[in-house]
Amino acid sequence: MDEVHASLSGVQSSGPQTGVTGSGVRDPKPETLDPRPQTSDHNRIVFPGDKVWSTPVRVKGCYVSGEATYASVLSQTSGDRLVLLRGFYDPQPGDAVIGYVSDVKFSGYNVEIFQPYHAFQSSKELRFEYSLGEVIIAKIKEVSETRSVDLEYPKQLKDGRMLNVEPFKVPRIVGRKNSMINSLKDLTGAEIYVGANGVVWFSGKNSSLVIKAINMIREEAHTTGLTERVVKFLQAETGIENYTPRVDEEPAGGSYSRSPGDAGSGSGEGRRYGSRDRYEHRERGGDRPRDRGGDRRSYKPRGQGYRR
Amino acid sequence: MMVSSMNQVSETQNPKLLKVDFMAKKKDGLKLIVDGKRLDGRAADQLRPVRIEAHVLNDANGSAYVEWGKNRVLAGVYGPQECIPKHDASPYGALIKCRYTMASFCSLEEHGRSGPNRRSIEISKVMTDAFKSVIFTEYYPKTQIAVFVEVLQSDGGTRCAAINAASVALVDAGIPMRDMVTAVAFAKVDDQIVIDAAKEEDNFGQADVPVAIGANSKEILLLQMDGILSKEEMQQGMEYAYSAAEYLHRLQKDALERVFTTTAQEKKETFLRM
Amino acid sequence: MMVEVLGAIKKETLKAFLVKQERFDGRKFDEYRPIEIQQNAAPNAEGSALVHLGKSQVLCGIKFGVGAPYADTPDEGVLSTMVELLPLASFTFEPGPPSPEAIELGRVVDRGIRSAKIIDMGKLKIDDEHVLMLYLDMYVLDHDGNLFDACTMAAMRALLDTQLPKVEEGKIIFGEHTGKLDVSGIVTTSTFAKIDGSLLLDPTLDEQLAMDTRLTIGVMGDKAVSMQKGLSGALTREELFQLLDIAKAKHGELVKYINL
Repeated sequence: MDEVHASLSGVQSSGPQTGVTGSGVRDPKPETLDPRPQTSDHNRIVFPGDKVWSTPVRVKGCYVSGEATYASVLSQTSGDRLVLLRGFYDPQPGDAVIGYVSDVKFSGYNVEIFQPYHAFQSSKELRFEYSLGEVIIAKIKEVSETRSVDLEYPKQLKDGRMLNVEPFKVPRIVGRKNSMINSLKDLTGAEIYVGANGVVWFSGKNSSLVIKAINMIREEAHTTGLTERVVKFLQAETGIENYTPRVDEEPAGGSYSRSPGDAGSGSGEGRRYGSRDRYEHRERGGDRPRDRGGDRRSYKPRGQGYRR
Repeated sequence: MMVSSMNQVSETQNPKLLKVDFMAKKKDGLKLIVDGKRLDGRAADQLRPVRIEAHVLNDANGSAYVEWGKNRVLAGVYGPQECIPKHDASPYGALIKCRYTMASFCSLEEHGRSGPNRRSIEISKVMTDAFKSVIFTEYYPKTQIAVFVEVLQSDGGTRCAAINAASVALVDAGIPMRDMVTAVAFAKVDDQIVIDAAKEEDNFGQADVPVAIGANSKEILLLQMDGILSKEEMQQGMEYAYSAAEYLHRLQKDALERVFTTTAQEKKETFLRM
Repeated sequence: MMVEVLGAIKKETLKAFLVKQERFDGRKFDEYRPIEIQQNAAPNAEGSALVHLGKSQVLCGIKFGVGAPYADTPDEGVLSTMVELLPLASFTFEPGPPSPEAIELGRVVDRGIRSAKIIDMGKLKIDDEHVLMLYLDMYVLDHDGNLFDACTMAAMRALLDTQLPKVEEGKIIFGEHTGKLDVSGIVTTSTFAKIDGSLLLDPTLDEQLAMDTRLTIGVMGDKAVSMQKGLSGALTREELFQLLDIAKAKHGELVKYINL
């Protein structure tokens, strides 16, 4: 039996997947995908072992066996896609993650990213030193076969709170084209970063409001129209009228803030550092890790600027 | 043969359980089946009432609570997490560790000891083996996935309740699996094959066969037996078991679906209430 | 180790809140989380109760056995208290023999009940060689801080509902009862966390990870019946009497919950 779970980069997006917003999940070619999952039920919940498609489709949350695709985690069908209702974070190079320094070594720092895997930030080429317990956001440089994670470009996050959310809900917290996270930032005035490992860091005077909003998103992550409801809720709490969610048309070329003034939005899912660069090489075949491997050495992220 | 459940029968209609002196050996003349009805009024192919709730604990990654007749079982899953002890970690995949234990006050009789004893260690082992065959351990090398099941009240057939609870807790925790696992036991009592033996039937019956099945694959993942059975008896028992497993699997799935439709307060109100 | 570093981080964040007289969950410094107590949660036991204290959940089950009395109290039954920190309750609990944390919890709950003399142990005598053993076992099902108070409340409610079993010829006939256990009062405990000088009642797990020191005070009526200080930070005498007053004030509130 051919049971291969080819997990693609990033966390499965819950909205339509387009290459530009960088969902990270390769769109299966239209002709290999059934127009609808097995039954005609909209939004039915699928359980591990349930057959989802009768052709082999390699997406996160499923496995292929024989000529069909079965679910491996609890998910919900949505049109011809699968929305994960449970799942784990699968570390990928380029993801921004948030964690804290759990050990200081001679060559670098062990960073706790709330995952069953070891993360390490080398101290070579760093301008600053970090201390035990400091909270940082960093980019994943490399993931080894045993899933040890090497980090780069760390940035200190001071005077804020960390909240652990389920990693597969991170795309909802970021929203399509950053609409949700921008709304949270604009309406609460808080500085907010979201790591792909499910850590939300925020600081500012309205932190309890931020927590309420995030918990609301977590509870209703599997529903539609969530951004509108969250905006309404925040407007009611803050008295701000006339607000429409701010969208970012193009990723700013960075997965987290690179200038002191900009509050940043974290990587959410799929936003890669220097993503614009990579998409210029799209003809190489897409987002699969082995496609990226070839040019990783040669591409240099454009601009860097944080902690001036 | 469709196996039905007593879920539809209300509490007041169930005949009261005959009092049996558990300490004594089976007395001659103790009949476990009278006029085609078992001690608690069930037919041979009837399950006890079963209720399953998923996501009942706050800290565990996944959890489930099963009430099966008078059995009450709580399962919690942690993982994948760092493997402890480190030297047990495998580069090929996650280590699955199931731990089945019974609370000291779980039985109607004596106060038991807390923690594992030989019986519970064996049950832990066969449970671990069953789940290892469905969990995609290769996705998480060098980690462990811990499944803890605590029997809060026991009345025969706790290992099957434990497996059903653990299966739901694993799905709730988001552990990737090939299939869900459903377990049920059949027994031979007064020369008749029955499904889902209650405590007295367990203690004084002629054979007891717990079996766990991959819910979709229909493959046998756990199988134990003690007693004496002919091939025909075993086949009939398996018929009952497979039929019961389908029903129980639906309950497992319902429990998981309800996670998204019940509030935390509603959950609290049903947890551990009769 | 990870838990210690995490504790340090929580403390840093919490300090910013405490300065403004706030807690993470918006409670006042001397406020309990929502409490729910459920009777008869383990019907096979002779007495049982389930307590929800915020998100912490503790199940207490009481079973009787027959045994020999202690040599120095030949006419009294034996109370044996135990707390089991189930690994499914918290990522900080590991399977294995009782940890010092579990043992301390059990002994502190026991101490309050014993000191207050609310159970007439003389009534547990069977004959000259046998007494009833009362096994008071608390199982922590879900840990979100303040297991002391949750365990004590569960124990009290379970004791109040405990049925004495029928004893025949020195053996217990399980399933048959001869009346209720005689419990003459209610003991409650109040647990405080001291974090950076602030004194917080009923700490959550986050607050516990951040705390410098902990004090549990057991009260019955208007008297203290037990005290236990935990962790290595320090308390001043003023703080001690301040907390004693709060514990006595909270006693009435908790008794109402236990009495349902």
